[in-house]
Amino acid sequence: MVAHFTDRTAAAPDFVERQVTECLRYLYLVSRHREQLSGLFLPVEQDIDEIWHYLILQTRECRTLCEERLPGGFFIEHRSIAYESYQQAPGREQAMEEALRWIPLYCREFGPFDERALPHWTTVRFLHQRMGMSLADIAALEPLAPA
Amino acid sequence: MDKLIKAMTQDDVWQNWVAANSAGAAAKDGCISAAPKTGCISAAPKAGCIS
Repeated sequence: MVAHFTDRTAAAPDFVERQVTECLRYLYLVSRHREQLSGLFLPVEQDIDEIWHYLILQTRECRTLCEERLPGGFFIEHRSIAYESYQQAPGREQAMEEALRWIPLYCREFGPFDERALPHWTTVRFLHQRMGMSLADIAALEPLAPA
Repeated sequence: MDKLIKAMTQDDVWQNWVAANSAGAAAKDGCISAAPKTGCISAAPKAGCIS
């Protein structure tokens, strides 16, 4: 997979390796926290989605990964939708809560986001670049208490 | 988290957030884990496939 994307993009192999890692982390989180994360808008960058698409095309390996290697043991479905359409249903505040929901769960499973993970997670990159939050501030985010 | 959500749903930040998640801003087609891209074209030589 790394060779496939290294051959087709200008990205360096170690960058592509990290993209694949973050794609797998995304899928792990969906599998591990199905009730909380399944059906939420993709929190990672489009390039990571392309890796997921490529994985889906390897049908046998994808099914094995989902059903036998990931903790939830279920096939992770995929559906395309534009964010403009997606966010209309939950509304602004809920859509934002959903986007932030990934962060504490990621940090709990994999540790704080580092500089190499930063470019791949849209929410984290936005918080860092647009909201001026440090990676330590981002790692310290607590989940919202249940209503 | 509550304060952050309030800050991020202010109009100016929200518009930037939507842009960061939208196609056209070097960003996303948009996908969730659970309708399809309505078409694909082959832009590269065949990679080769087996069943």
